[in-house]
Amino acid sequence: MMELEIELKKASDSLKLWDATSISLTAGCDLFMRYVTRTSALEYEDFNSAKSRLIERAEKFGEISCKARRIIAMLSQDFIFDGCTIMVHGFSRVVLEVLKTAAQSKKLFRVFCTEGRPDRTGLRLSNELAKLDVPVKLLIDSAVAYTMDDVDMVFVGADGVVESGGIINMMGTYQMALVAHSMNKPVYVAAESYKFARLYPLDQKDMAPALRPIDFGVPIPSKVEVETSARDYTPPQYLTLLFTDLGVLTPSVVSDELIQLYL
Amino acid sequence: MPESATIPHTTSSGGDSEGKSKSADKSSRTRRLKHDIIEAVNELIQDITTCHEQIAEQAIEHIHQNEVILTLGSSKTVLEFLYAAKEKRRSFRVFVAEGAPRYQGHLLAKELVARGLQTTLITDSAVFAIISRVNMVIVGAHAVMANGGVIAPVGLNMVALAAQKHAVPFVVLAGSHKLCPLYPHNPEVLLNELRSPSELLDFGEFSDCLDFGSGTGSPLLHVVNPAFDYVPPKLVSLFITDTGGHNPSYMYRLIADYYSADDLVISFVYYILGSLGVTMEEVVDWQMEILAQCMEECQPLFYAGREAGLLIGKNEKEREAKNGHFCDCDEAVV
Repeated sequence: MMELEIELKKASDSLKLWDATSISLTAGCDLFMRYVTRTSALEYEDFNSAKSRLIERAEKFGEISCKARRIIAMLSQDFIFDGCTIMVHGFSRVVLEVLKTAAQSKKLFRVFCTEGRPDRTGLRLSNELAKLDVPVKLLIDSAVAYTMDDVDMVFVGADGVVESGGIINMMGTYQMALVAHSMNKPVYVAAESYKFARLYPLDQKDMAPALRPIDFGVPIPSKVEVETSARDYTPPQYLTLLFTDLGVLTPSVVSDELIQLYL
Repeated sequence: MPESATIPHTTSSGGDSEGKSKSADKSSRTRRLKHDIIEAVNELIQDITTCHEQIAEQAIEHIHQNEVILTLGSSKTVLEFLYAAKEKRRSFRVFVAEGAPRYQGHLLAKELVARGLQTTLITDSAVFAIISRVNMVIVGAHAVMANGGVIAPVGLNMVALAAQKHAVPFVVLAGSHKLCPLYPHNPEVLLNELRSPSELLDFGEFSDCLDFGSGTGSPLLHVVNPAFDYVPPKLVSLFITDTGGHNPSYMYRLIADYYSADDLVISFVYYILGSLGVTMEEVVDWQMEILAQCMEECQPLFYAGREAGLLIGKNEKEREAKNGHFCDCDEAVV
């Protein structure tokens, strides 16, 4: 029984090593471990029943995570009204699911999509949206403030949701949230519950670094430094609501939910 | 107040024959279910009747000597709150904004004077001019949303904005029965009520402007008379409920005590069932089965509830006839 737990831990550790910078992977593994091993079946003498119970819980965890996107899409439908303009940043499969569901329920809306340098994820997202016949407009990242006037709401995904209620997401999210907040536009975050992490960044540099090389297209002299961080932290006061499979949450509720998940 | 302890002795024709074939286990389950529901309803009635006193008990902590309080319209909770502070010998003045178009501020002013409080009546438009001389704004609420926002009588959003501009605390008094688990995705329309233009205009004078028979078939003059306003959580300083004073960001906790997440996610079950290939017929069949079972067990309660509802409706109509207008948001509780 003990060895089963140790094996699980070893597997989880090696999975985490694959991408040391991914917060959702670490958080997901931690939550999975807690969910699976927190069962009284492990205290029974019968090994086979304990094993089958562990497998049952593991499959349930997988099921919940898969259905999470659909639940989040359903929860956010009320907030998308006819004739609205949505700004999105980066390629998030959850946000794509939200927009897909809205398009399928014949809602009329248009999307402003940032380019998302250096990954160019915005181009991927705009392709997907164009397939759904949703009017899309591509912007360069610097054009966010310029177009924020016409926007009704901002929708982003998250790499991780931290204890303060803030989110860690692709570089540029903090900027967009700041601009939206100063112009009184709501910022909605769509994130599954396994992304809730036991982290509390105090500022932008307080996270494990995740660096991504940027290709500027021209050679840069060696004296010039390049900021290559791939993600930033958005504090909770700039976020309006979080859509998760646990329900619609305000940023202050996140820490409560985290306690319930991890205890 | 309906006596919820008495249940009218009625049974359906189907129930009788079924009753004989019911096992003892099922009837004891029914009794327990009835008992639990009756207890819960009694608790709720208790909460609603005592909320004014429990909120008024906290008045002494918030209203100090020589303060100036501003309120708009009329709310029983606010009246009790101010009176409790007066009882404890705090001297303060009250500015009452009249609360057009129903002018319930006039009634509140009369009540306050009757209880010996120094009152000043102002128009809604004068609120911004007066707000810099005010120490605190105290208002009631129609409903409190899950994000801490407030659905309040029309005009209160304006007062809240004025209060924020001059750093005046905006305090909302709300019994815990006013808590609502919804998030305001369209706050101006959600839970709002657009009332008749006759409260604003005299049809006789404006009959040609409001004429539907004019050229294009629609009148040139539109009259919008919303009954409620949405006040966002960032404008509210404090909520005083019967459990104490709370931050707007804490309200979700109180709501979670009353509502389970299952209640809210229930519609998504249908979506998920649909996506799993279950047909609507099967879902309806399951529903009918469960519903039939519930009906059997709860039928006497259903009649009790209906009687209670009728009694409450009757009380409202009586009060309406007495006051000559629709019941105030706060009074329409019991």
